[in-house]
Amino acid sequence: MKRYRFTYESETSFSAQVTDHSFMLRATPLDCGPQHLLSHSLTVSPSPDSLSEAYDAWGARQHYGIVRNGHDGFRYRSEGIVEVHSEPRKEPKPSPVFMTNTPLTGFIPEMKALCAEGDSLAAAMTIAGRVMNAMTYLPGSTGVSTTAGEAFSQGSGVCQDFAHIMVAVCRECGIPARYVCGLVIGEGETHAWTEIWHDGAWYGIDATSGLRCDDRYITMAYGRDASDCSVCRGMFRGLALQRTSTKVVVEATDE
Amino acid sequence: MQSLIKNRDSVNRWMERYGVRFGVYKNGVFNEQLFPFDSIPRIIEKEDWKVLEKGLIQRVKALNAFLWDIYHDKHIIADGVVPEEFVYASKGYMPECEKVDPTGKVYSHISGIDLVEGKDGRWFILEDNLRIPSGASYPMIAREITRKVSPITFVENHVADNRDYATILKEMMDDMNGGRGINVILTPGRYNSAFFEHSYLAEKTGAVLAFPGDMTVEDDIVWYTGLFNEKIRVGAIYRRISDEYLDPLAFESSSLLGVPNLFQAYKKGTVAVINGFGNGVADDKGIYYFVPKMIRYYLDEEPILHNAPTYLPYFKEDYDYILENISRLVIKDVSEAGGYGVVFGRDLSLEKLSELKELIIHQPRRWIAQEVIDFKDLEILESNEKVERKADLRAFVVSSGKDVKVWKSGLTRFSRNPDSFVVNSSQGGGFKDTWIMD
Repeated sequence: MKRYRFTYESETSFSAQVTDHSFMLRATPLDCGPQHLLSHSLTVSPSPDSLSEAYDAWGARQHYGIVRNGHDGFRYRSEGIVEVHSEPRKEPKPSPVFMTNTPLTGFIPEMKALCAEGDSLAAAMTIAGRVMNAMTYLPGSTGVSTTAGEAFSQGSGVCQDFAHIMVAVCRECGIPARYVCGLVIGEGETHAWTEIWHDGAWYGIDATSGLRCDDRYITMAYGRDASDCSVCRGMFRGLALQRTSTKVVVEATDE
Repeated sequence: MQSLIKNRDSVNRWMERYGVRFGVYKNGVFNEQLFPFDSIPRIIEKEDWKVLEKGLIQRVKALNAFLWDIYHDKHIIADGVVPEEFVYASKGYMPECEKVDPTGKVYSHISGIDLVEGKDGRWFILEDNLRIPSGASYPMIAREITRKVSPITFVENHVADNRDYATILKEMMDDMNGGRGINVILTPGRYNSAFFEHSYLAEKTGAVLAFPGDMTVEDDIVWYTGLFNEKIRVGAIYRRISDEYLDPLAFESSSLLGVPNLFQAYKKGTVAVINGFGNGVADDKGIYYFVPKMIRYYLDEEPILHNAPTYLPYFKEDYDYILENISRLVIKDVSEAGGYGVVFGRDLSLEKLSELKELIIHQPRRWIAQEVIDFKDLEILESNEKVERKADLRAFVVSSGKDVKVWKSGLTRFSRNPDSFVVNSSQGGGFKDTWIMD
């Protein structure tokens, strides 16, 4: 078991004033299974005209609302203390939606070489190792809408692409798999990995490192692919370019 | 009747002046077409209609019960009536709708059920359209115009008045709204194929015609921005935008057509969305096969209307039958709509047939096969000569929390091509008035 103090901070600046800015955030660690959220706070600025809460289809916490008046910057900060245990997330039967690939996780014949058979956890570990070897981690080489097939064909990508390819191959091999978005210890950005279902529980596997996930991985959301896990989405009125910078800090704590 | 035939051209001229059109995208270019009207009506006798009406109400009740069940307890899967893979592999199944309670438990408020009449006078269901079935405005306005150009026709014939569709719609919207706010019809805009219909129905029902950007969500309430920038609460949205584009913060993030955070308001139950989210799982061509079973399962009744004889390659027995008889069956791709993805085995070369067989062998879940029904042809006028053409009927069934009503009319579409069985308006057909006799 480990305890972390985390801060997820994001700031978007607009080149001109925007209005009627609706937003949806999914920037809070899960509070169930092997993970407990001991304290949490979320601030949004400018102060929104409404701020509501809900849970998405898979249980991730969402904060959403609207900033009506003109503004040229949008900031939010999600922080708190979370306790993580190194055990799989129990579920007796996986939802069949995690057995079918989506457009983002589409399997292409060239991925056949990554397939593995046998015990699903061992097979998934083999697949993760093959994904890691087949791909070069290269920030900027892909975008948010890059598909597993595109990233695999060019042989490079970031954690999102590694996770999508991992999901695509596992599902093709009959192993239920889902995409996970969360945080890891240190300073940086969000991280993405995969959970595969084996014998009554979901096991985290990080295809970027080829390793099993343990209590250093904080889950914020999971779903069929990255689009189910967007940390922030927005829509506004106005003709403006935007630039976003994100800062994540996760440190071990005794509190 | 003679007076009607004589007046065909003037009806078409009036419709052109009213802007009765539908848009078609072909190769990326948007074109508006007139929807040619044929003045010889399809006539349905009172006794036949009674059976149709009862059967349609029964079918739509079962479909709504199925949607509720699928997004809640899933008894029908647990009891082995519908195999789980047909539900979850359907493109229309939305996990986001799990445990969400739509107002009044209604999912499909406006159902467009497509039927054909066989040569022997028996009706068959071709497909259910439970997402955004369009087409009601065409028979509405055609009747309005024919009553003007040929009033004598409706004095001499006892035709059920069909001018009540707007009232039926409005009563349903009011019931779903429950006095929480205004009713709106949400259109993607004038480049949508059915924009004429959106604006016409808004005018006829007194609902506000809303465009993308007109609505926002604050504290889980949907607000319409009025002419003076005032906020007006919305209680029911008859949306003509499909699920995936309806809320860019919940679904397709690139959509500019949606209302951000609408899905959250829907989940909290503060607004009725007509038709509801996630209906695609029930009008999937693969699920169609199971509708008669749903009727027995949920209503404990025998189905009054029959499906066209359908085979699912998923079942071994059907699989063998299809591969054996493919050259005389009609094969449909379950993921396509609008008359696309429908092929007749008899039109294919041997080479194409074996390609199709390969596809079926590889993705059995993606296809259904049906016997070709010997449709009863309807007479149409082709340059003042009566010729016979294939036709279908889209019946409109309106469900509120209180009742289910079938509009005493419908859209009869016909194929202008004598060899074609596909009557979809996106494929260049025409339409007729449908007379239900009183």
